Amino acid sequence: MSDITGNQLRGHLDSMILSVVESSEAHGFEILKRLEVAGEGALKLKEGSVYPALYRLEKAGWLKAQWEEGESNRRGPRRRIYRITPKGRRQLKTGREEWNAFVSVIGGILGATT
Amino acid sequence: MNDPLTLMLAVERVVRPIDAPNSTKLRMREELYGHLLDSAQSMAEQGMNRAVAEQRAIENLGDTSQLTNQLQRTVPRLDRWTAFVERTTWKQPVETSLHFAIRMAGWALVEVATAALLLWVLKYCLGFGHREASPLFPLVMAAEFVVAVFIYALAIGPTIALVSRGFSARGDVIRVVGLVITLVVVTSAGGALFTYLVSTDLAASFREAVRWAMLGCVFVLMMFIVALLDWREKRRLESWLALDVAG
Repeated sequence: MSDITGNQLRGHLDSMILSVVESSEAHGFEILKRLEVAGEGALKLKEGSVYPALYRLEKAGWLKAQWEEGESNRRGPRRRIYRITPKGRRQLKTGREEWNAFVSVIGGILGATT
Repeated sequence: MNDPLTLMLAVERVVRPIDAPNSTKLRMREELYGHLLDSAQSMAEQGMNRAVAEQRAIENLGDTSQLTNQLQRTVPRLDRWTAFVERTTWKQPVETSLHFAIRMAGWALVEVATAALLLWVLKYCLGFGHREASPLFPLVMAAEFVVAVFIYALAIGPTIALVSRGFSARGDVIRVVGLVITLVVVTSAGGALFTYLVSTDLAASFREAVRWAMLGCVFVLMMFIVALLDWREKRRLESWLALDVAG
């Protein structure tokens, strides 16, 4: 499979992030790792671009963030933990429906097997 | 060799140009720095040399100016105003206490002159009678209150900077007591001066001066509470602001 890069991801990153935090909360680096694993190595993200997306999603009320509590064994600053909100779940559902409709239409035109 | 400054500098180059309040930028700094540490650590655990891993982590973050622009777009417009007020009213990292005091005194002078002129014009339009008798009295009071708060805010910054420097060798307790006394004197004097400047009824000036002085004392107390709440954040900011991103 060829690499999927920033331009191809435009417009989908928000839904993808919501999707990987749907099951459990995570900090920024963990979210990136989950995206890479889910993308089976084909996803080539500029790592920094995850953070503007996270702030956008937080501002929209789709994610809620809070600083990690308690002492961790890790060296360095506190981590900010993101979890999906009920509003975010609704947005993810809408995002999935829109994506399925998109794939169905474009797939039909290109003759792909979906 | 492992050098946390390399990662901090990379983060600072991204975050420093962003027009946002200090608290927002501190959040960005801590998150990006934590990300770089995790990323470098993850690569080092796979056998990569630590210095190479840090360099790779920085590269993987993406183009600096592009990321700055992306982060800037996430800052609400209102927050940019907050950032402007912070830049204007707080001491900048590269600024000396004396420069800050002079700059703020200049601002205070402009504020007082503008406020006095505007209020004088307003009173001229109302006919210079007893303010309380005017139907616009609540409006005048509200305007005076806002202006007074601005003047207090501008006067307190340089006073803290100068007095704190003056008491710096005398221990924390004396420093705080000295600051409180000085601030109460400054705000009381400011309140009295403000009343004298805007009042056309000198008989009532003394009572008004006392009222504004009391307002000043309350404001000083509020400023101290805010400063105490803000103290930890300011300490965390210091290490970032000391970085020389141009070097």
